[in-house]
Amino acid sequence: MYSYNDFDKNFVRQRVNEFRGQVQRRIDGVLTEEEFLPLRLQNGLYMQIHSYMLRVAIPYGTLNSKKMRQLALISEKYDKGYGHFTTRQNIQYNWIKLSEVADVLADLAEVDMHAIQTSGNCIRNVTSDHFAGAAVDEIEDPRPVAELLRQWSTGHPEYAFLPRKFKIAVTGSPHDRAAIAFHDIGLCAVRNDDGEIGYKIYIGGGLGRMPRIGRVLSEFIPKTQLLNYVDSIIHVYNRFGRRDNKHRARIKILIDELGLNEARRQIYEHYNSLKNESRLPSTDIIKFLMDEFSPPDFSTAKEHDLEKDFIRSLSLKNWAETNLTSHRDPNHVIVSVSLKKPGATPGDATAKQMRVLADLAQQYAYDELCVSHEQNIILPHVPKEHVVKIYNKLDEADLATSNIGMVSDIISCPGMDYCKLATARSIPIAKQIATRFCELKTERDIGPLKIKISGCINACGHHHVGHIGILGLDRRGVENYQITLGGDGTEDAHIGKRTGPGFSADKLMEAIETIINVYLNDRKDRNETFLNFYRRVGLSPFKLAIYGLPGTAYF
Amino acid sequence: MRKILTANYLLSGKVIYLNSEKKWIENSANAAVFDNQEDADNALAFADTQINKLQSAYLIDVLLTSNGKPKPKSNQELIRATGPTNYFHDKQIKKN
Repeated sequence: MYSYNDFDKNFVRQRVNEFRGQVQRRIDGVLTEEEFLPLRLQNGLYMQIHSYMLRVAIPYGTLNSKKMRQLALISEKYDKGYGHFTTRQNIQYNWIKLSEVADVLADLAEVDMHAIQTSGNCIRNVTSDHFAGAAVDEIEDPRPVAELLRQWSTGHPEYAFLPRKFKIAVTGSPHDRAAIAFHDIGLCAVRNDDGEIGYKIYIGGGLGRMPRIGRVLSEFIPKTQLLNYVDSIIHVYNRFGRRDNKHRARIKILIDELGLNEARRQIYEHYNSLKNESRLPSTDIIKFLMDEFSPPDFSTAKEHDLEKDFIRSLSLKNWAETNLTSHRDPNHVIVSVSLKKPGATPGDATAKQMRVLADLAQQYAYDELCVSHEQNIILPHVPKEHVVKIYNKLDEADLATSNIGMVSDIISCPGMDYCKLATARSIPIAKQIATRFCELKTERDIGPLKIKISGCINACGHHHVGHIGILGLDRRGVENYQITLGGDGTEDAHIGKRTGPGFSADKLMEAIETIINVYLNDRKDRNETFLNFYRRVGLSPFKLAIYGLPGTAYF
Repeated sequence: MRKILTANYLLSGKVIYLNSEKKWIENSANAAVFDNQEDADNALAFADTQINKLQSAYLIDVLLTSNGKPKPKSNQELIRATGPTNYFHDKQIKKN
């Protein structure tokens, strides 16, 4: 894991002091709210509907126990004893006071963390695969490249005021767990014919009101050229991205308007002019970053037969079926800790739970944790011999929900319960769906199914890429929920298709249940997942089931 | 028209409403209701004099309940007045 050097530490501390001064000037009335707004946003401080909200960056989701404990402490010291892990692998505190925010940032700086560039029209926190460094199919750990991009983009003077926010995701595996096709730039590790590892570059993906699947800009860029390449893309975007209309300001719209070929021509024009400049990351820098993320010594783990543990505990077996994933080392597994207990708020963890996770990481899992964009916490490297102990401790902390990838493992934005932009609530909908399928006890029978809920068109809940997506809107003062089907955020990227008119909150559950019953009744067998079933049969049978025949009320 | 004036305290961020004595209170039901533009504008002008105390101030539409108390009309303002619906936080506890 990358550790801050003196430069990083000083930079973050200076920013804390600078912001402390800016806050004081606002309190003293030297700065108006209008003048203060861009300053607080650059430091991750939003005003939401109830209070200030602080969004803290967790680069590529990676944490150690010290950082996790500090996040827990901050939630108790300055907030209400919990934090909300987001779909951008960050954490948000919902109840922060302006008078204390500089102290929060100082506490974060103590553990090499900050809230810089978690808001505003800049390059945001670089996200990555939550199984980075552990995945069986990984070509290389993507985090050295993510860290390179983080260092380059943090405080980049040319890109502090882009036309709109800019999101970069990196994955090291062909199976995309980081939704790279739905980012402004997505990078995916690949090997060329010579066996050299470089990155395939996607551009112009995104969710929101105009969802787009990213398109391939280059099949292979060597690591030493990555910064120049990314710089060239953002350089062109910064010059020509629209600033006249907020809703058409993302790079995806520039690509739409220019066409991919012309965009590529302009990007390469700049790229070719940079190619021979000395500011390339040298192979030494790349090696340094690779070394920072060297894997733990996996050889110390003993061989262990988990099947024997499963025989002794059915609940452990059930949990293992959904929450354990094969690790690149045969004596380890990846543990996904669900923050989606049915009836609880998706992505929320109490200070106590954060400390339990920190303890487990430190004691049993090489002191490493990762926040997933699916709002769960991953212990990427767990020796098999420790799985039972970890499960028991998780169970004691109410963290042993066995539902990863299942119908109750729902991504949900905070929605109208917290967010100023929201047009409807999403948390109660997530809670209702998860509780309902828990009561029906059909979750295992349904199998893998991703439900994603956004409380507005900005799509923080990634509804476009949910196998079942739910979008909350306001229809003449009443919350109304549209359903999309068939979305997929993986390498087989698809944007979900809308079924038709939306449903009121009290009718939505019935519609979701009907959709799932269509699948359960008509699937070939249990091996045909919901998504595969949808791809085979299309939207029609679902529409028929939820709206009735054409000519009835909805048609 | 029926409006009340709301804001957030600058330091704490707490949701507040202006009452008829020009004091900032936390319970929207006790806010002053403005039924003409002039009173509403005067209230906004009063808020403008307090920019060092307030994060922002704006008018919201309200309905009157059966006991004559104002109730925010929009869903968002209703949740803002009563607290989030996923947790029973201090605002809801205080009211009960």
